[in-house]
Amino acid sequence: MSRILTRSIWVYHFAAAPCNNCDIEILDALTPKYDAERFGIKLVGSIRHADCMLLTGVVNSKDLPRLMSIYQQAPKPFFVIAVGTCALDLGIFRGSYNVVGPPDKHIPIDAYVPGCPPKPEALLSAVVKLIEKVRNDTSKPGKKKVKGIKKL
Amino acid sequence: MSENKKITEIPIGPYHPLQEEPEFFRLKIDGEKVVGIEIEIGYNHRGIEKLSESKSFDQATFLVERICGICSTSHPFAYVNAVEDLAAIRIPERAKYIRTVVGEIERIHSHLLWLGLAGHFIGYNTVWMWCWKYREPLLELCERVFGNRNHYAMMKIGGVRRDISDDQGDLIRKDMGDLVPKLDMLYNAIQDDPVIKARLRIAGTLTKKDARAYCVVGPTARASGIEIDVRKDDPYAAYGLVDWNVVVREEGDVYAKTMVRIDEMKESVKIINQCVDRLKEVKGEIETEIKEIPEGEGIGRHEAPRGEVFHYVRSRGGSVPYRHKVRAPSFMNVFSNEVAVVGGTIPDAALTLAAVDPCYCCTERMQAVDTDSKVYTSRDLIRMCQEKTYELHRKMKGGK
Amino acid sequence: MEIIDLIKKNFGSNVKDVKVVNERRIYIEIPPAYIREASEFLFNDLKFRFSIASGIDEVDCMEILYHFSFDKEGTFITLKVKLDKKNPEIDTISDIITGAKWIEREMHELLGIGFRGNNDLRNLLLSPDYKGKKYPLRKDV
Repeated sequence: MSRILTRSIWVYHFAAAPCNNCDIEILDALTPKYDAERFGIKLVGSIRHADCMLLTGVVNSKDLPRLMSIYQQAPKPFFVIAVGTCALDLGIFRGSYNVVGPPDKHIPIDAYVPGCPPKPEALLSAVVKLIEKVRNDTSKPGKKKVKGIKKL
Repeated sequence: MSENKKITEIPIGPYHPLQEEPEFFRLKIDGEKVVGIEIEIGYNHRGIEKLSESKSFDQATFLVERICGICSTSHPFAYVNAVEDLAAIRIPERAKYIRTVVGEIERIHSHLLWLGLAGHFIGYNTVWMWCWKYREPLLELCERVFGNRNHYAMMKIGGVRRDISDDQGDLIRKDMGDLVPKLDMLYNAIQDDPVIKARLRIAGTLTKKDARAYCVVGPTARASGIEIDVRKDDPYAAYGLVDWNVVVREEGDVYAKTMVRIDEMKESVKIINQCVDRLKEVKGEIETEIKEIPEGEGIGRHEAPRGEVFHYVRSRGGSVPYRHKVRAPSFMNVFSNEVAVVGGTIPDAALTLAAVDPCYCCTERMQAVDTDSKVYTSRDLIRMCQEKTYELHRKMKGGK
Repeated sequence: MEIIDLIKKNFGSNVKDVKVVNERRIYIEIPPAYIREASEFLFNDLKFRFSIASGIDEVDCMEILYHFSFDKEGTFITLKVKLDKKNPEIDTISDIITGAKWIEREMHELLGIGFRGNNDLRNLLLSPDYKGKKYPLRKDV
């Protein structure tokens, strides 16, 4: 079922308190030099149209409720790619009073792209790797468990 | 405003398709006219000021670099200025030129980024793609010369971390040479196109009086006739040593803001070329050795692409700052939308809100969308904004 | 340097301390009660630009620095006020300088400083359901 998702992935971009750099590099991947759109990868404005979410940043206390509600609205099956070092392990922002991440504490993440910021090539390579993973996945798609989603 | 008139609320954000950062505006609409706006931020607050108090003076350079990805050299620039002001450190002349080159390359790629997004907002996606295409060689240049596409980590208290060799200097000069005709092309395209001109003229005027009351900075202020530029007023690094002009326009509308930025890019090219030439003559150390940071307080300023960045550092001796205050230009500029948007129409709002080149990562050192109560989605707003341009286009063609 | 004499003359006995680091960086300490008149003089009469204010949790007091920039000469003048640590409160300047509204909100939520006369002190940055300790920029948090 999720194999259908391996062509023309539409991505939604969620900025959860990033420094903006990963976000710019995501947009950069769409512009003529890298032109991700030739693979059918398209940035969409609503998560309801998306197959995949690019998540940047550390997630702060104000973002969290929004992240959860937006994630709930996503059509399933759905993939999340965490972009940048902060989305991996908070990076330099570890220990701040307002940070409630890393994101994988709250929602399941399927791929991580390390780097500060990751180059557009790295982003494209992450999507390719994710597609391979999905294609080779023979198990039946099960529901992913998300912690704390009931509370909302 | 009488009570019985129906006022509609339009939430824009926090997660807007093309503004990369979360921010939340609540527009109050009467018919088609915007009568009020509420701005809500905080979606990006990471508590950097507090974190800085636990990092050493040297580490803080890397922390402030990550306040924002587009102004990733502006914050370290202002920060090192502040610490150098605190400890009365003088930096070698070569370091001054290198700092200036880094700062100006960043200004060009940031302005190109903004111009591209503005193009997208008014429905000229070609402008968007072209600007970003021209921006790409600059990022590659950064990678070759400074080691990374963004987050260059060039600033260091007392100087710079890496030298620019003569070969790299030639590379910079060549890229600047390639950039000039493209900037001219963009300049002429915007000047000549009656539709773009007409579209930008009518949107979001910020008067000189309001600009002063809201204490705006950078291109937003300079487009409203306020002649301020930290590089000229309070020269630091090599800005006092090279020849360049401050670009000021009187109108205060989005058109003025666009032209100010394009002209500024040309000035930046001038500055960079002069600095690279001087770098071939001025040899020597690129940093002063710093033993310790004494007790005291220091203020550092830098004219970032969006305006004045302000850093205040207080030290009580020891290895960590006692207090580190950061004020990004957007903190003042975004607030001025309160007046710039009001009185305009809904299709103009998205454009005006983007015209200050907001940077929420900076503002909040820390970014809004109401998913349920949306009357218009932000996508609709962009569509409306673009449709108005097409409408204008049709009218003008018909009129001729 | 003329400008500093002019300010000193106008402030009169309200100047508690002047620290001239160099010709471009001047710190003037004034009593908290005088802040409204002082900022009115700098902003309206001398046409200084309000840059920002920074609150500092010092050992024995709560300090606020009001940074004004005189762009014509590149002079940066900082007004320093010291507030009582237990109950830090000062008059608002946001009706004189509109651009000070946000920073007063920020100082209120992060440092717990009260601004008399400013009735819009909602949280600017922190979420309404922020669960951490109150006033995160204070030293004891």
